Amino acid sequence: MPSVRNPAPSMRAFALQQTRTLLRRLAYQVSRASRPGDPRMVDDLRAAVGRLNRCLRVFGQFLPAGKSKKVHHELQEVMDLADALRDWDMALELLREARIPAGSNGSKLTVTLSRERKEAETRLRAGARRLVRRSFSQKWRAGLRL
Amino acid sequence: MAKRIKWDEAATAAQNARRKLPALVKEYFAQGRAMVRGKPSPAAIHRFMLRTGRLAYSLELFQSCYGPGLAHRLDALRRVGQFLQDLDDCAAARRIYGGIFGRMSGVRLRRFLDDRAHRKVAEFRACWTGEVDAKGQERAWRDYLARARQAR
Repeated sequence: MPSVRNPAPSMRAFALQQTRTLLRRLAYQVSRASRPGDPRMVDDLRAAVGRLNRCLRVFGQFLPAGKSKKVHHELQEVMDLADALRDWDMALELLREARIPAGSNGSKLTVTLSRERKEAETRLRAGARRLVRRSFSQKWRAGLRL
Repeated sequence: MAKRIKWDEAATAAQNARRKLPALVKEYFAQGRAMVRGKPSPAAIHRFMLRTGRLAYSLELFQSCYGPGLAHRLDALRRVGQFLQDLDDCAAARRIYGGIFGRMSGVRLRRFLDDRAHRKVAEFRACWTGEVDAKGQERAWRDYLARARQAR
């Protein structure tokens, strides 16, 4: 039961508060992804992108449609870069688990996968740096009227 | 969950959660049962994995309207999601290895992925039927979600 002192926020206020929180968390993860040497960053970044994406869909009614669509598009670009890196990591991990003997196709696969992984990591870091340079979270916050 | 939810602006978040969230869960359980009944294709597994993640993220948005019971339910969803992710990874790994060598290379690697996929299907089914969709669970989920309280 809402009290007089602490009234329940309106649905709109609640939705905008959730969106602000998730955008702030994403900004932190993008900043982490823009710096080298944090191997666990990719899963946290994918989760942050997924959460904000879902929030924009679920609470789309309270957000400017044009800007929301644009943010979705940019989130998808980040997610594609993060997914690519995660896929190479996963392929390398499964290859290790399979314990393919040295000298077989396994070693050729490892070399190729490691090279592709490195390139995917570079692309993701460059994408994250671009977003940080553009102060994306401030721009999205203004555009989404949060 | 494909339809956009129409929220009542005059109502609070908790009132909206009580009215709308049980229907999301009902739809999800129906999709899950269809998955467990048949022999799902890799594409169907991928779709259901995405649906599981979307449902978890949608419910998380309302975590402040519920008690610790929601966190337990979200943990169960995440476990299902992890089995589906592991299963989806087997299909993705086949594509990646195949893309590098033209066709999937090595009997040993192929057998490893097949065995892993079989194991993950069994784990997913066990988690779904024994935990998430155990007798009375769908009703319990819907009743629970229909008891949202004021957001903290």
